[in-house]
Amino acid sequence: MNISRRAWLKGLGAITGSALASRLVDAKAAPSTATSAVVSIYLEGGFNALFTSADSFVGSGAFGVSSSNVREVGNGLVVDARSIGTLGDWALGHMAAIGNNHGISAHPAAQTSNFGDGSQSYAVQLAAAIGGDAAFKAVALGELPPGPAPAVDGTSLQLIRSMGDVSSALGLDARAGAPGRADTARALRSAQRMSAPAIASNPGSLSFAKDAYATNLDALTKAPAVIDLAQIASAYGTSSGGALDLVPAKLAAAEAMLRGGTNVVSLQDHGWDSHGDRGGSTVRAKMAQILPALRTFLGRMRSEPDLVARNITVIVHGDFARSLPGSDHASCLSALVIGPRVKVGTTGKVSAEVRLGERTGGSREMWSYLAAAAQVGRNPFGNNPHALVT
Amino acid sequence: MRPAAHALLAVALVLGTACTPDPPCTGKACRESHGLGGDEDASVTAQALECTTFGAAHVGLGGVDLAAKAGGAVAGDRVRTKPYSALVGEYDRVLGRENVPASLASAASTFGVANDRWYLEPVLSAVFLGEAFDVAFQGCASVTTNLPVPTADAARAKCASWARAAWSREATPDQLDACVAVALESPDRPWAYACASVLSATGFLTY
Repeated sequence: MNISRRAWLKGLGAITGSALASRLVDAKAAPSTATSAVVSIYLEGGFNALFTSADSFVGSGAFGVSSSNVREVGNGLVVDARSIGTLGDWALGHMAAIGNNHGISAHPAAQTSNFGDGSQSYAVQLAAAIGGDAAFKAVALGELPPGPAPAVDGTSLQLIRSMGDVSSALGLDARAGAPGRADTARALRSAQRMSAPAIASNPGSLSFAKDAYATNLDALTKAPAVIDLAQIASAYGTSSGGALDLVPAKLAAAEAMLRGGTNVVSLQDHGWDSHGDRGGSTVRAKMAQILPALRTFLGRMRSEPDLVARNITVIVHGDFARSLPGSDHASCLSALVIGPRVKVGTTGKVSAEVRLGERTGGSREMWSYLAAAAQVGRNPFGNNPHALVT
Repeated sequence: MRPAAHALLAVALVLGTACTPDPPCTGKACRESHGLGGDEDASVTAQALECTTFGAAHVGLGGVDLAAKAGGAVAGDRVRTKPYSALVGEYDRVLGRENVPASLASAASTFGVANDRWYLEPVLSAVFLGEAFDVAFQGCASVTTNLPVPTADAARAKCASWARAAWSREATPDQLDACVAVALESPDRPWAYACASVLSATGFLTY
């Protein structure tokens, strides 16, 4: 059942004296949701190009690719038929492979490169550029992505570790006897003031604390979201009270946060450092584990009114592609991007030796593409070199 | 030279290659040149002890300099968020075991409890802070149940006492003002909110 936030608040006004109402009465207004959003699904260890540049390996048969297990999507994009090729007509009609020639074949540096330039976080920059007035504009589900993530124009990256945290972040956990929002805000402002000397003298190590006070105080000025977290979790086959350790739970949390107005969601899956996977069976099996949840997420992007109203772009990326012959470390990446504004095609077609052209662009340009797909007014990453946006 | 002295000399040499501080700044001329005043027995400031010369970089397989060290003054900008295992004892110490709410246990994942044989560096995120406030508020509500309506003097005394207990140091006048304001301005359960504000400051949540 979908109830508009305004209608819900109007109905709530009738419940005079309830504990829940006391938590809401001092909330100013519901946040205005930014139109666009980006979900980053990061495969820690690597993302084999067999999935998004399958035709590169048909000739050699590397990674178990043959003419019988690839699917031509259009405009030069050829994907692994039995995994990416099964994501459904809508996804296949709004899908691109985006090349990222970051030139790095070491895990830590490649991971950091995927998320920032060493001083700024691309996710935070994009969340700030998308705008809106949600308190939690950029969130990391389960764990923080690598690299520094300082706040940009008041937008910070907030860590959400569990479904309970999702509930707290969205203000869904009102209970009898809980502190009131205005009183809590007053007390937290006081705590923020008490913490100011420490934050001033520890700007690096307490940067998260600084952002935490600001984000909490911002959230307390807004009405809680009206979201059925249990229903969302159920759609992904997970529970509303669990940890965010697997992709289904993380995508359920991502959906909830997007409904609450979040602009950029970052989540990771582990165990993709597939050395020795010459036939590609290991990564195909791992992809099979996350595809059902991704399929659910993409389906709900098209069926749930709150999500349909948003221009949500999903990117699947990883440290780098896997090199030949031993599925080791390549120095480039062919990311998968799906979204309403994505034009079918590829700039991520790797060579038979798993290399990309010099002029493909690196991680900044990959995020520039995401910003273009998100239709931001001012692209914080400069011009987008990937002409695959409708 | 005895073996112990040899060992000390060797350790000193190794440390000296990794990070060579400026020469000990204990002489009058040196102290004056650093703007520290001429008293030889005055305490040497953290700034004077700052490492300015580092050893050669040692880049590992991951492309990271394993010998890299954070710059800055000694003990500067190194605050860490208390992990859940520490917070359990801290709430117990400050609030008294009987006043620690059961919700603390259910907030373990928010505070970053890791799986067995694993470690998670706690992050003082917005949700962490919100959960910490809720836990503190419940505990403080229990602690302050029977307190009379706060006056300015009583609030100042209580705030000073809470800060000393929670932060293990004295609050500054401005910090006391902030706490007192909560006690005097909160219409409902003012003591609990004031107490929770002290326990939601970085003085309690970090070390």
